[in-house]
Amino acid sequence: MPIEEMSLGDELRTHPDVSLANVRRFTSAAKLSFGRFVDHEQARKEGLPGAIVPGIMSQGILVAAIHAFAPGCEIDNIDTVFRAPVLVDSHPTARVVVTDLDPAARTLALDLTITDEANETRVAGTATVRL
Amino acid sequence: MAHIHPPGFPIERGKIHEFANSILDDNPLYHDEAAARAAGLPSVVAPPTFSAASSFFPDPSGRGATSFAGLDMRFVLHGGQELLFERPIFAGDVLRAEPGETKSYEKDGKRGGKMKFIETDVLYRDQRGGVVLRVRNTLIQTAGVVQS
Repeated sequence: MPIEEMSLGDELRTHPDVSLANVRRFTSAAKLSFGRFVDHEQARKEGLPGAIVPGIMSQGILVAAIHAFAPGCEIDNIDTVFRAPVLVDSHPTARVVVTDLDPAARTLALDLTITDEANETRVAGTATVRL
Repeated sequence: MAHIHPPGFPIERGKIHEFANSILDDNPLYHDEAAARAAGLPSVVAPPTFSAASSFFPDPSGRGATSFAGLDMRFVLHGGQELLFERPIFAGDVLRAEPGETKSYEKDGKRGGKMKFIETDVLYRDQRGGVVLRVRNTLIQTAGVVQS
């Protein structure tokens, strides 16, 4: 969608695949070797409710959602806070919302969240992108 | 706490493709050299989180590019991450990471005892010495296993 047609509050929701198989694919690509990401039992031994999605994968999921919302955009900055773990094999929702836009500078400010099935926020953040 | 960084790491097109696939991002600028060049770019673009993830890639000695000596990684959680780009990172770039300021402080936690927060800043420069990216990471080390 051209920036001239965008409005404050425009949003996109995606349903990222955080299955164990997909998280293993990510940890292999990112060379992350911690059992808590790919082994539910190991994660429980560490006091977690199950295996958790790496924070940097959650940030990557939000970047993918941004690109689904604004294909080809360039990300100037992205800041995420990992409030609570996103659980592997859960069914989270990633959400991108326009909070500010500057058609002259062709920039968008975005709010970012990943929520769980109970709509509790697990990851929150902001980004500025250039179209 | 010490950070160990390799002298430089090349950004490779195949690795970008693999990494972008792993986050299910089909942005053609990550995968297709021709599409990137048609967009006026020198090569495919690295996803924003690629460079931060690459700090985990082992160097030739087998160590991770970034290590956090002094932390018990069994009890470390990722609290947050901020990326500030001066320009996109492309295949063919060779980046060098420079550790910056590190700040640590403690807070009382409810389920994992005392929590130690560590904020680290890392500056990434390209092969010409120009700054391309600033990364701030927040790590949280709990006193032990989190009590659920």
